[in-house]
Amino acid sequence: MNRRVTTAVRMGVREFRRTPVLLALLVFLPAYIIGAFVLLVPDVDVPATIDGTRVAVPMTDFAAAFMTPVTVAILSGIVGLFLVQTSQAADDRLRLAGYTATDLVVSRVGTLGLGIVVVTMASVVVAVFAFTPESTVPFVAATLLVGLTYGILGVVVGIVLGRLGGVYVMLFSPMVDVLLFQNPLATDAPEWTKLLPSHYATNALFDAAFTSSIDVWDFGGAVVYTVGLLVIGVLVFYQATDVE
Amino acid sequence: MNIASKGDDAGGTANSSGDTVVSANSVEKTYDSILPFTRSVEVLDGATLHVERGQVVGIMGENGSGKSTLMGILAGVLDHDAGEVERAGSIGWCPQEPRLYDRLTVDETFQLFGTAYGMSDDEIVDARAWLTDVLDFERFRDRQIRHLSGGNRQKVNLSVALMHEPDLLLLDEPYTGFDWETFLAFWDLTEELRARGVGVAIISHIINERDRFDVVYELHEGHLHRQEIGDDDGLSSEPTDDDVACERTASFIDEAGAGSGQRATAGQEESE
Repeated sequence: MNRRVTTAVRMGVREFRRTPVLLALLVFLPAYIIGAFVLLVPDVDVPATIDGTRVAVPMTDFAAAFMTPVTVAILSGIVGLFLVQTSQAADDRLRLAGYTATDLVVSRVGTLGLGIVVVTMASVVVAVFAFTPESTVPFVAATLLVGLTYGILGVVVGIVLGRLGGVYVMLFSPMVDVLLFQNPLATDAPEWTKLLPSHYATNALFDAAFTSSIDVWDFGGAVVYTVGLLVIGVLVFYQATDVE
Repeated sequence: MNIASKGDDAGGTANSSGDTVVSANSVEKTYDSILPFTRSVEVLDGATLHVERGQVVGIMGENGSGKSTLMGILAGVLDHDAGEVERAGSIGWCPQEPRLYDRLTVDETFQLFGTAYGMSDDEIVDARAWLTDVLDFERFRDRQIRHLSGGNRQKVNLSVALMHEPDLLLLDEPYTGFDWETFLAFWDLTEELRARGVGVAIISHIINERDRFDVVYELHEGHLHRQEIGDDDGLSSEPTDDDVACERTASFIDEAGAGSGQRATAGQEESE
């Protein structure tokens, strides 16, 4: 990385560190959403569709595994939104001062990536207090993919809709996508729900949580979805910060 | 859109295109909306302007006349629909609203933008020492931008534009919120830059400061009307370049001349 990129990433991380609300959410949301669900659900087995098969899993394990992507999606979306909201106004000035489009994109993607790694780690640490995934590394990787997907969405939504509209969308969309349509307890989900951002990543996550096998297609689909969103995000960001 | 930009890299050096550091020829700009039943706003209609090395140019006009749009186009952060903009050398742009990172300190802001300009650490330290001394905000160096007063934030905003000693300075109401001492320090600094050969374009509402400019442009109904400022304040309503007469220009400058005994303070100016 060149000097401009490392400086911008370092400054971006400092900006995160100086946002107490964001840091508080980082601690509070995983503990609240994952922890509260695990404590509240009854100690029974529930039927869930994992890798196309109907299996019975303990409700507490299911709650921990299921609420992890919900938490990560919400937090990552907010991190992406925050990143673009705090930097957009000055980023075109930074471009004018000498940052190339590549410098700036790499800097912001780097900062976003670091933020999502922290969000993922915070959520996974809370989740593993309640249950142990069958395949830990794939579980973490799938959670990270959910975070990247929603983090990039947060950036795009932040640029297009602004702060208020963006916050609503980034709180609402994980609820609809992950909580409703990717729910393994539900049956007969419509075909179009496969197009939603977290479909492949959550499938991979549930596989990793409750089976020892890894579904390469789900991981591949999640990676392709993330890369596709990243391309869109880079184009939108480039357009928003473009200078002559 | 026809764009002919030279020296787009802000860290670049001046080229050999003569003494003009920025020229805009017949620039047009209309704000359109993709939403139905909303009207387009035509802001610039053939605006023409030139800034030479060592020249201090004032750009005046009523609220909403398009001064900040023109400045954004000159800086290269806004697209234009038609016309040509040519720049020579490095640019320092001070927007009307400070475009800074709120959660960075003053020192970090210098570090980030200095790196962007391609300055070494030593050069950044020297530039910071120079500007914090001249504009008197050395004691706020470790404070985050969001915790600064409006005037001090504006000092940082101005400093970011100045720190790499550009060939062209584009300042959009740079002294908003300055106290009187800083306001005077700003003009001393401008004189110093003029002597160094820096071309300076300033959007200003303070008509009574017109004697400090070499040339004043009034932006009215999308056109720029040029007025040379010299020993002989002969007034002319004729635009120099865009062939659109503007009687308002003469009266505008007449009023300024009549009121030249009154000195407005920086705090009295009206933000656009």
